[in-house]
Amino acid sequence: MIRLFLLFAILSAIVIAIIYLFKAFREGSMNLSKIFGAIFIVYALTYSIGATF
Amino acid sequence: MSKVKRIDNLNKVNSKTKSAKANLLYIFLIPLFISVVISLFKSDYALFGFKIIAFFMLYFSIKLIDAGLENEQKYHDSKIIKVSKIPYKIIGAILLAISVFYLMNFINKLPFMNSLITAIIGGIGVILYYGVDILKDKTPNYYINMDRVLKELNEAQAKINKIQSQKEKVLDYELKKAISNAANNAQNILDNLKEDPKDIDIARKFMVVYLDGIKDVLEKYGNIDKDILDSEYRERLISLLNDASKRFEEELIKLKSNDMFDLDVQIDSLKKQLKH
Repeated sequence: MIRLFLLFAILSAIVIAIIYLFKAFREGSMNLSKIFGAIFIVYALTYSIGATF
Repeated sequence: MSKVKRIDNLNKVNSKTKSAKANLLYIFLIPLFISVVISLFKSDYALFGFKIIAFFMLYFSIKLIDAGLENEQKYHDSKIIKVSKIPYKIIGAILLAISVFYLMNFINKLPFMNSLITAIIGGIGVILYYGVDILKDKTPNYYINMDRVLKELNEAQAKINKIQSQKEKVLDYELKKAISNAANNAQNILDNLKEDPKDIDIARKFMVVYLDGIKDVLEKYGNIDKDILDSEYRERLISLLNDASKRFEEELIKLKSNDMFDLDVQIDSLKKQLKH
């Protein structure tokens, strides 16, 4: 079950990364710290909160 | 929580700006809340209690980050500001990391190292995403006594707020409108001074005599029994407020065009009117 949430966390982080990269290409500027920050937050919180279910 | 010691409530100039919020983090409170409710329905009260603690830890960390973002926004919106020396975003990031660790290690019973690494990733994520706190005061590029200027601007704002609050107590439409116009025009002058505080010395009388005078007159009016109040007094008050409002408007134009702020010469006449 926990592994499932780990997988879910990784997938969510990938989705966030894709969204931010898409946004960066569209706006023509890439804020790397923002992208990595979002990925890290989504990964850590999805994993830790998801595992409580 | 936000302790940006400045022209606090005055920031009506920038009130149009959308307030900064850690929206991304708020989303995660929803699944955690659902998880708390599930534990309750399963009658697992111990787990319910632990999860509630985690929920509030996470909530509080988000609130701290919010406070940091709010301070940052005020910093960018203002030309002069004394910022709080408390690094809200950093404290929020640390608390978020502790919350993640608590959830992973204590509630989910995951290995210590795994929990620690995830917590660190979470904390670093917050710092990367929201940035670090600005702890340096923003001052204009010419010399001013920042503490004194902020104190004076805050006092002037408090007076305008008082005038505005008196307006709420007045039922007379015409008088209400006159107070509102005077207060709004005074606010515009004050906003202009916040933008360009070097004019503060020449505008000091505006902040002291004019605002104090109007505030006192309105307070007295508020305390008088309206039944025994003659209409002449009311007329005089409205005319005084309209006069003040008009002068504020004229002075704002002058202030904006960097002309001499000549409220000084007009003050005596208004002072006399206020005394009667």
